[in-house]
Amino acid sequence: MEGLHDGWIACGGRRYASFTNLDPGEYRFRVKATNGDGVWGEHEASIRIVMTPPFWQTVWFYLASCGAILLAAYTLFQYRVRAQVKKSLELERIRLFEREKVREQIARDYHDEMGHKITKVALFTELIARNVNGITAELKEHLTKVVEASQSLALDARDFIWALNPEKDSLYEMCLHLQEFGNALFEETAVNFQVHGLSEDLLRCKLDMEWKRHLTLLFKEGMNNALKHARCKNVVLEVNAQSGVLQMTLFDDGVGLFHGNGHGPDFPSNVFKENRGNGAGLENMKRRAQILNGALDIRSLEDGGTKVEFSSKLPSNGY
Amino acid sequence: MTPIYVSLIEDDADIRQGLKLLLKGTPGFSCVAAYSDCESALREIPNDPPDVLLMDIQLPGMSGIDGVRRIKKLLPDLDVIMLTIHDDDKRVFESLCAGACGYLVKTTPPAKLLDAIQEVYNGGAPMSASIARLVIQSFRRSSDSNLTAREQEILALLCKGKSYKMIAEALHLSKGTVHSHLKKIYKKLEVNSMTEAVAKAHQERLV
Repeated sequence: MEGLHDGWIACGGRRYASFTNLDPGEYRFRVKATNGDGVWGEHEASIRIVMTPPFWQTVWFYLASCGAILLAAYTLFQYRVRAQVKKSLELERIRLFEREKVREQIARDYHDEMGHKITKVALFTELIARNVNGITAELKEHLTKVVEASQSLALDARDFIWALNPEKDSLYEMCLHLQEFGNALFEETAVNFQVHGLSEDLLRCKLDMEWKRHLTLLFKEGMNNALKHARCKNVVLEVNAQSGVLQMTLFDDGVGLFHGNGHGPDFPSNVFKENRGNGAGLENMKRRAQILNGALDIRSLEDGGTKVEFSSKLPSNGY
Repeated sequence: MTPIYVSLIEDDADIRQGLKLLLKGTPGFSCVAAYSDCESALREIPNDPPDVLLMDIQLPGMSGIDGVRRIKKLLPDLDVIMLTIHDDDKRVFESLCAGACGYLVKTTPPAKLLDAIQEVYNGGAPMSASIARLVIQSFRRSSDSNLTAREQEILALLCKGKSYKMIAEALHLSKGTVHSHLKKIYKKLEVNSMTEAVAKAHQERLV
């Protein structure tokens, strides 16, 4: 048997040969025979024998199984790492939420205190105004200023508490907040204010504190500008959040922007100064947009009016 | 014209005094009594019932929310307005369920505060969008919400953050009509949350 034995093997009178446990490979079985007198036949017979290895003994199988084992080990490792990362992220998230809750609680307590004091200021100023006989117009104006200052302080504090509240963390809540602000701002004016695109779908869109704060302040500034300078009849805030991109636009149908220095073609310079320069306001809005990695487009529209458009990719790291 | 008789419960002495003086000094209003806590108010109010009661939410001892519940048992027709520092949704909603028919943020300028009392006396007080959402959810939970179509419309608009002015315009109603619808909604909310509470109590006793 070539491939198994080196030489001939005598078999005596046996007329068969048996091989067991042949390893996979190629063999040649050669047979020579003698006749009864011991004369060797001239020809030998041979057959080629190929033992095909079972599939589990092939090289490919070895490679593949090694690969599979490695892959399984790697996946398991990855999975465990990921689970651990997820767990620590979850912990971190809870910790963050708790910390925000505490921060909000502190702010709220402080706001409680402040609110009571502001209430007193407002109440007693009102009582003074009522009880001073022959109150002069000037004195009345001073008193009004005290009340107004304390009111705006109270409103600012409420906004601040709102921004700190981790439970009010959706785009929906933010738009509602802006809408309530707009309703109050335009209520006593001839301006008609509307919000378009507000739906409960926006509840799914989570915003963190920074987003809430900058976006609300940006659009509040925009609404204030519209009221103060645009001389418009309609103000519309449009919200659109699709495939991870947020677009918020404030339109008015007023006089539009005047080149370089604020709203209106005949903008009186004293008004300009009194509002600390509308330019500063616009710069502020741009700065806020930048912080959120967003683009802010403020421009006059061709058919009159102003457009303030903020667009940005939404943060995906919401709660 | 007879003035609106107002009583108030407020623990801060200065604010209590200030509100009392404000009410006394305004034509159309009269201050009946000013209490510093719910306990004394509960004792004395039935002897001298006002038209409107201003009630602080945060009070030492019995909270304003429990206070409303108890006082409405004694005087079911009394209009109770909650006074609060921040428009804390949860507590405002709880007091509405307990029977209050409106709430005011304390830091509201005095003139507007008086307007709002007048408004509540004539009808329900405005509701913020987030409160309106809680109210709708609460009615949704009860199997037989007895809100009329109009009331549901108004709630839905409030929920979208529409102001009274806008709701009146959208539904072609007068502001006064919107108010009276709202007052009914507040009333139904109270009844609804009472039945809900009773049902819940029953369930818990059974389990």
